Amino acid sequence: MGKSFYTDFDPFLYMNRYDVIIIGAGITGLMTAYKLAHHDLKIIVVEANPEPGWGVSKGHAAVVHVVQLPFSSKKSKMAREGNKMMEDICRELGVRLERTSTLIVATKIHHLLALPFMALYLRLNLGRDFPVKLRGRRYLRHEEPNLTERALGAIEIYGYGVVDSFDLIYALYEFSAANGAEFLFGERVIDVEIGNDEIKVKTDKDRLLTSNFLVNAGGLWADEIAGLTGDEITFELGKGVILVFDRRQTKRLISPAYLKPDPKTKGGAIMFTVEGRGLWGPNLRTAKNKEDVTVEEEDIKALTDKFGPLLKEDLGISIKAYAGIRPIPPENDFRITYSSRSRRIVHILGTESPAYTASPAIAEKVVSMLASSGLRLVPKKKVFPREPFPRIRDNPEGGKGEIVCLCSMVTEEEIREAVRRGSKTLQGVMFRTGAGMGICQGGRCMAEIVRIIAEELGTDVEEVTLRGGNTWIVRK
Amino acid sequence: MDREKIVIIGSGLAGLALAEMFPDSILIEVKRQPGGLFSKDNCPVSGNIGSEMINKLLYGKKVEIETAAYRLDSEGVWVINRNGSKKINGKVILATGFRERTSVELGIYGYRPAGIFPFTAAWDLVNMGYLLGEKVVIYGYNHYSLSLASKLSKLCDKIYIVYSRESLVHSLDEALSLGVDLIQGRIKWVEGRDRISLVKTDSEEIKTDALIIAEFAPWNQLGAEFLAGNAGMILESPLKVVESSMLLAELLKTGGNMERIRGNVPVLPKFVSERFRKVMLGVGTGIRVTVGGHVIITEEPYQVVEIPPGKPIVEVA
Repeated sequence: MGKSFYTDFDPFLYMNRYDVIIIGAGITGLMTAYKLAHHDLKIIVVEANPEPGWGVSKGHAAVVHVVQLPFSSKKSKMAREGNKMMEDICRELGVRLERTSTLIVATKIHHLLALPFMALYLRLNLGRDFPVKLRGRRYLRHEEPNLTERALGAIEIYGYGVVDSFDLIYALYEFSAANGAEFLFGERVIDVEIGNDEIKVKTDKDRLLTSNFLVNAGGLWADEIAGLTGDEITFELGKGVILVFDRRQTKRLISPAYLKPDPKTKGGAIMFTVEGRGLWGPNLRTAKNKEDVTVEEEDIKALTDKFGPLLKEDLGISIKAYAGIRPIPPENDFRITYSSRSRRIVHILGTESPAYTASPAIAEKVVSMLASSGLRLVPKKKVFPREPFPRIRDNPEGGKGEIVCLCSMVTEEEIREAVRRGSKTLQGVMFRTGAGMGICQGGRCMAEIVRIIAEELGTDVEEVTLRGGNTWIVRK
Repeated sequence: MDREKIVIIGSGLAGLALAEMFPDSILIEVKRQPGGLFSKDNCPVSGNIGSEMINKLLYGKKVEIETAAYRLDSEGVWVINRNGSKKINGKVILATGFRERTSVELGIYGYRPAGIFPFTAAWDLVNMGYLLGEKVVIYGYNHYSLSLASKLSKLCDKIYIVYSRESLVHSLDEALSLGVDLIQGRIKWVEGRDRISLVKTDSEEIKTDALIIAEFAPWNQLGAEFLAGNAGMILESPLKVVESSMLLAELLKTGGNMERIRGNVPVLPKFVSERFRKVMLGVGTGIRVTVGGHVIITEEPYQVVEIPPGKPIVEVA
């Protein structure tokens, strides 16, 4: 830990005094910022990536979860709390959330026989908020025509959801920024010093920030941030691959039945996005390091072997596969805790799945921990809503515009609006608008998108990168 | 309702050729310029040059540009542009070209860095005047990859073409004469955190800073019945694209009961009627094909054959 990165008097330091510094603009950091932005507070979010949500959150499959085993774990309880809170948040922010259910499908007779016991166990633990029903073959044939003929029966669990996960990330960011939260992107926190009445944070761009409170929402890197405050945690790195299809295959989320669920396996499911694409996964493997986002042949094989037999022939075309890395703490549960050095510092650790679902509950807990350490929460008299981001695909008959991306139906104006809202990279624009995410993989629109980004930013096309740093796209 | 009106989606070579045969048709184009990718293709196939053919066919054509087709129904097609959306009734023909095969389809694993371009994106960027890299790997040997390689050959230090199948219309010598390194094999792995740095084939490692995917599949984006050009079958020759559109036009003009052609050989058009039974086969020279029960050996790429009366089945013999 650096001892003297600030001098005795630095006027700049006082200008940068905050009530709360949040490290990390992933789902948990943003959800915390969103909650705090409803109050009269000076807050800042520091994010190493060029845009919000590019860490653990990026690998998220957009499912709002219900069942997480074991039921006694923090992540299981908080996922169910967060699930219930998610609907109001999405409504407030204008983010699409489609409610659905999960079918746990039995294709073997001994699994079928076990379903009533599994259903009972689920009912006892889920209570009335998340109904559980036993389903027979006729129901499955009628309701899920793409399901294999070999499906004998299923348990249906209600209360799941599919959320426009990138839009939620960007909406939380936009709402927080509209209500006074400051954001620093592309800056990594490299030092933290805990004083008697203030916390000092230094970034790799030599910026000094001071605050009364600090929230570590560093996701995959939260272990290193914890190290900076004198706390210790070691993550196991779990890698999960998701396979994306050009079409939605089922009406509900589909998961194979298991007799002995392993709490460490995510199990995975046949899923879909609000855009109407199919998703299979994730699997779970050990990542070599925090940058090991490789997809290997065996990942695809594992997913195909697991989910392929659950569906009939017509599966659609696989657009791509991507890997995400989850930080798994030793206790295999969320750890939301004060720093051992100061109760003005809160660590959010182990934010692997279902942290996205749990994020509203996590943020609420963090805010209450800060409050009990003395953070004064005075609700704002006026809160500014997130500026709506109209998409032509939601109502093409009532809209107009030049379509740039045919697969996802994205207009030139939507691309420009994404840039105006802060996306400076191709990946940012793709995540924000959905452009280039379809079966043509950006073949038809990539050149036009980078041209529009450059024009909107007032730079040359060769300045536009895929995702910042050395990810250049073209040269002159 | 005008049932006879022909609505053509896409003003590339296949769409323009169809419009030539149906002077009253409506021609829709999503881009600012009509002509599609052949309008920039200067690489000859047995003397025929795509860009020249586009220029000839464009003459006198009315094209609704910057207009996207986004949904089909039983009566016609929904389109949208800067003035709003509208429904155009008629017989819709999709001439919207191919798509690139995906990394999952091709079995390419590893990282997902910057510098991987689907062919069409690379084509557009190069034609806008940009460089994609110094050492460029193109995956796939066909007319399109050769045409792109000929544009890049003056701009790049090194061009590699990795291929597992040969072109139906170009010899390997044509690539060699451009100074391209030909590597037989399949790309299995991509390396690079930020920018692509290396690709591994099943036998070699190639240091690179750009990978262009030029393996194609037909792309029926809207689920249309009638398909023309690369939307229906991959065609490496501009002349053959035009010829296949002519066949479709003749079929539609002749009329009759349409019956879908079945089998494992790509064909255009996708239908025959009892009155018009000519189709183009999407295979090269010297291939044994069973056409409606009769075995033939093809004498040229994209040979046109007559399917005998009976069940229209075309299979590899």
